[in-house]
Amino acid sequence: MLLFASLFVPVLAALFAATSQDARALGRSAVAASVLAMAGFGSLAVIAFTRGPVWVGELWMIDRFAALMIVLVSAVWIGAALSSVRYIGEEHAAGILSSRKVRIYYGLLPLFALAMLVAVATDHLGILWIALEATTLATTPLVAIYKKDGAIEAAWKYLLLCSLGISVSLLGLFLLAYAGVGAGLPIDRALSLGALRGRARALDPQVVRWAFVFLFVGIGTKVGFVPMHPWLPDAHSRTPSPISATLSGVLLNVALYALLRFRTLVDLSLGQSDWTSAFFVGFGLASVLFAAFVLLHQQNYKRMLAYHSVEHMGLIAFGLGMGPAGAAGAVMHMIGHTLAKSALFFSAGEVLLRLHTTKIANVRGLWRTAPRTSFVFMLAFLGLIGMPTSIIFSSELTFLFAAARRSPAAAIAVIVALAIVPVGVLHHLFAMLFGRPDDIPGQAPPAEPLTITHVVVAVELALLFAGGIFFLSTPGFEWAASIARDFTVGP
Amino acid sequence: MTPDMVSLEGVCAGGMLLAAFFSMGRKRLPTMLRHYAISSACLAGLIVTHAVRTAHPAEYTGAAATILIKVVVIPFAVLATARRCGDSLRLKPITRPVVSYALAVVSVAGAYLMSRRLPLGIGPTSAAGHMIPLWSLVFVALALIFLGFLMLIIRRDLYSQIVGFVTVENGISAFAVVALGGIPFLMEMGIFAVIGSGVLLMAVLSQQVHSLYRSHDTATLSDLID
Repeated sequence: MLLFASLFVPVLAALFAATSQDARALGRSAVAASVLAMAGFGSLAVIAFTRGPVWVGELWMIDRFAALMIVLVSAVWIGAALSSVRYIGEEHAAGILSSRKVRIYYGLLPLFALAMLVAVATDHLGILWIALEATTLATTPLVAIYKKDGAIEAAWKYLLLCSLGISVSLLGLFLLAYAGVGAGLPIDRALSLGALRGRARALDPQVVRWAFVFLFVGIGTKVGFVPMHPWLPDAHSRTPSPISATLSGVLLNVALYALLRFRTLVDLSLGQSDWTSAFFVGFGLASVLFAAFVLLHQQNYKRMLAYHSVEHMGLIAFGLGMGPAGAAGAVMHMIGHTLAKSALFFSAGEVLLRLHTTKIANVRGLWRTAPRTSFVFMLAFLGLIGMPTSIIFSSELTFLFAAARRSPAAAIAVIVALAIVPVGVLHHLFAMLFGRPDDIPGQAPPAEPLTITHVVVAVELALLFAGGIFFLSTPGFEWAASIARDFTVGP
Repeated sequence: MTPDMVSLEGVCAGGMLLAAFFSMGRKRLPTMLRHYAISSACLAGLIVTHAVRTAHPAEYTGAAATILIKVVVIPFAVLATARRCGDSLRLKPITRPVVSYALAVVSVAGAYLMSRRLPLGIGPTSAAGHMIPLWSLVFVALALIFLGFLMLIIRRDLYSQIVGFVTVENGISAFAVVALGGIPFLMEMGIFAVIGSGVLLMAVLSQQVHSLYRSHDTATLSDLID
């Protein structure tokens, strides 16, 4: 009952957005919906964390991994809703977004969150697939909302590439179902993850291997692995900043979550994880190295953040190929990525509202004109590139320890990439914060107010840096490892 | 399964493949959409033959939805969008028709090789007694997927890309029918809903691309290259 009530909340918020004309009321309803849904889903997550997997009928299952994803999605949704009150409110007041577009925005935001929550809470592969595609459909109009500066181009690439990817994954899903039917399951049960897990050893390993290839390429497109990534920097940089934060901070993790659910099944069927690990390590390394070099040449700070997401997804994939310790690091990195990336996109929204540009060359002396935004922007960047004690520092350390034992050459390649990234990022960051601005004599910049976005980002940063200390401790590592056991197969 | 049904199954599968194959060299949007509609009608026919064979009346609804959405709504929506934009209905492929057909032959050959490598033969449809070998029906489904991808690569206009996408989707639907004997009704309707919504969104976006760039050529979409 609690699950269905929680699922109904975003639908109500979307219906309200379709009927209301008041932009302020829309903002308040978006916040209320996100908090209510968090209360409902959060309760289920707490039960899953404390008592084990929660089953609701045969279609819904929340284990600890799903519970973690629910908490991450809900938390970023609340942050995005709060940040939207300021961001969308300012753009509406400035005439950048019409009342109609504001309604579209507030109608699609809860539907986007709903699609992600359904994807992580379901045990039915068909519902999971439909929910993943629904995330694309709900966000395409948001990518296209400005209708200028490449927004339509970004939306077209996003819709076409992600829909194609998800279609390819449907072929993999049908192959898995085919293997399930061959193992004696009726077709409706052959689409249930739980039922397939129960018959995993009876699935034809050859069919399962083919299925995983299609699933990896298809869902990997949505995750943003190189070379299926071209839509990602375009889409993430063209949409309103609170949506960029949600796309980059949690949607990529949700897609990765889906891929890991399939991987567990394949590993169980094959009786080992080496075969699937090779995919994760190969695509992970390609993504990390490619993104590291592209980051050096970025001229747009939102695009730079988007490419950083490609690098992070690559790092997580790399860790997932490095055994149980790497998987625990992947759990940490998913949490760290969500906090740091959403904080950065929320802060980038503040920069954009103030300076009306996303070009790095046009942002200079930000520290002097916008000290609050600059401070959180800098801290979030430092956390993102792995400064102690951020969670990303802990996760990267875990990856490297795990890789040093299993694959020293791969570990060296990752160290090279991790050394390149700060060079590219810090060079741009310090130019933006401390570079000499082209002052107009006699015009002092207006003082920067403290906004709700600053508060949201400050909370995220506190969690990012405190969480890193927790994960460096034995209980912290054990906690991450216990969640990783939900999607890994023991040796 | 009666010999008539076997013939019908073969005709439908062959019709799907031929219609998709011959759309590759076409230059006019209405002709391409007609080919797609024929291919989709054959898919509906394939679903009907399976519904008769397995005695699952619910599958007739899937066939009806296929006709409604893929034979009527999608071709109509794409063509209406192109006409509303005032675009020329004559498209500009980047390859000559003979080259397009040659590449299509290569794609179909690739699908053939892949279908022989796929370890099929344990599933429900083979157990139910296909008189046409399962791999040959899977070959048709894979060929459609490959041809759809080829169209996405060798065509540079938005409308052909939409047709390429829905051709890929037709191949995947055909695979579900021939390999699984259909999928649960609610899931099938869910897939129809998201694919239909996706194509409608693509039609809306192509209209917006045209209003911004005065062209449906994807080469104009080059603002966001690093």
